[in-house]
Amino acid sequence: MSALLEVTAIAKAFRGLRALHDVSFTVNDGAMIALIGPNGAGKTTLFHIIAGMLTPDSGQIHFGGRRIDGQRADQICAAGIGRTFQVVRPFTALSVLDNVIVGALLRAKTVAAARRYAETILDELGLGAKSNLPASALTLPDRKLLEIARSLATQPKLLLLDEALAGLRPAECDRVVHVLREVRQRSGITILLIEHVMRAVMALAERVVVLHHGEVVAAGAPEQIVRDARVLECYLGEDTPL
Amino acid sequence: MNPRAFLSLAALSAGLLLLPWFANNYLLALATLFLFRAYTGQAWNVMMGFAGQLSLGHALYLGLGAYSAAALYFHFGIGPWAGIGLSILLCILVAVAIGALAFRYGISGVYFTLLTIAFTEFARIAFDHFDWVGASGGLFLPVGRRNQLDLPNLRGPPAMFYYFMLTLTATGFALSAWLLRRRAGYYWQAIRENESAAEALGVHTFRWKLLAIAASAAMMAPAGVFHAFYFNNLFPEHIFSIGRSIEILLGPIIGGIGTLCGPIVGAAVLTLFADGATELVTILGWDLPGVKQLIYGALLFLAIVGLPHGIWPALARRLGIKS
Repeated sequence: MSALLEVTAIAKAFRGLRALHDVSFTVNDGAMIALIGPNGAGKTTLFHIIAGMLTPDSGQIHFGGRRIDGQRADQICAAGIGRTFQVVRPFTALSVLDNVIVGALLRAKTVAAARRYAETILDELGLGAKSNLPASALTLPDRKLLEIARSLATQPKLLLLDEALAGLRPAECDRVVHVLREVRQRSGITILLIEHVMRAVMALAERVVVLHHGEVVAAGAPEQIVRDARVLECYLGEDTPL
Repeated sequence: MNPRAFLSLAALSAGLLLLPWFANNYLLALATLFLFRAYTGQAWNVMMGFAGQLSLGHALYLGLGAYSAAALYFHFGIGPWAGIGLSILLCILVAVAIGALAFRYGISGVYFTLLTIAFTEFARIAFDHFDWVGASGGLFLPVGRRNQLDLPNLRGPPAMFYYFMLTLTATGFALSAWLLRRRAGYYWQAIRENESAAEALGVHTFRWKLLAIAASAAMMAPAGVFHAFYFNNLFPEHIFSIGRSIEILLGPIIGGIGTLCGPIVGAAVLTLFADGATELVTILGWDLPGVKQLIYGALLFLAIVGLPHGIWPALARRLGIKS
């Protein structure tokens, strides 16, 4: 397996507050990797940098062998990286279908072609029956799915999911996990996800990267990670007797 | 389209087309004013209603369109039809310059709006000192004979001006409807709803916002040309005033911002309000200064409080049409 995404020595500070320091890791083609860490560890900042919403102070990001750090968000999306937002950002006044059409228009030549593609994606994600509802009428789990559908419509090679499961009840969570597994099986898409729900991380990820205070403190298979002393420490605190 | 909506539209079109046959000059002038409001509102709606970029300076494009065609006619005898082409080009150029400046440096929201006001004020002051077009003393076009139709020079009876505005309004509506269904319409609405989410879906927001401001300004230009040749006089204080910019956006706001029919419905209601207030004052004999404006203001207030999303969305629901 070759490296699809290479993050090398990324650093970012906000007015002296060190958000990320010397962060390096790679995501192989076709992999499913989880990025975990306590609140404020720098996970979302890292996502913003990969997706082009922020520029790093130093370090490099290569995607498919091409350097992408410093490019605009839309250029990075066009290069093949799709993303969802932690707090969902639907186009609320538009219908569910129109939301997905906006994404599909990136690769489709005509609106009609984008519509057809958007319809298949909505059907695959189980939102087909809700196509014509305004996005504002959707429940939270459906909004999370819409966020994913919209992103998938841009036909990314790499999908960045920022807490796609946060705030969902266990049954809803299982539904989204199921959808993600299916999408991955069908398209072989590479997924990098930020997740707090450990149940989902264990169920989905092949590899876990742990971020703490802006640094990578551990990386490995999920079973290994949950037993790692440094990981337990950053989640539970040093003095907590186990 | 359902049969009821189709019938309403057919009746409306027939009524508008045949109006000059049964309307007197006063009614025709009122209808022409209504169309002018509807068209300029439609142009403003492309930028704000579709793409979410609030301009409080659309009088700028109206004035530039009016002055460029009028100056060509006044100084070189070049007819208004060539003038329309030039005024559109000029408006696009200015709009792209303002848009590029604002969007390149990330000026957005209320600061962008301030910038639109600033450029319009700048134009007003500049034209006040621009002697070639009469400066603050105004530019006056030679008036033609009202009963003689001279279409190449846009000189003729009131009905000609009415049909000019009717054609423009119909074209503006069709153009807006077409744009809304194209890639531009989808991208503009995405930018309006959430710009960063649009970017994350591969939308080059800078380019599409620039297109929105350019399209909107281009649509304003022929309305400016109409204004110059209908009234035959232009004053910077009048055409570039902030009051005029606000008049342009009242229609779409009252009618339903971001909708296709909103600017037209809004313009109709505004024209009725303004004229109704005048009639009411005359009937009641309250002919005191300011009373008319007070009644007009109260009617506007009631419309906005009663239907904060505009008249058209509520009306469309009643008629069973998707707004």
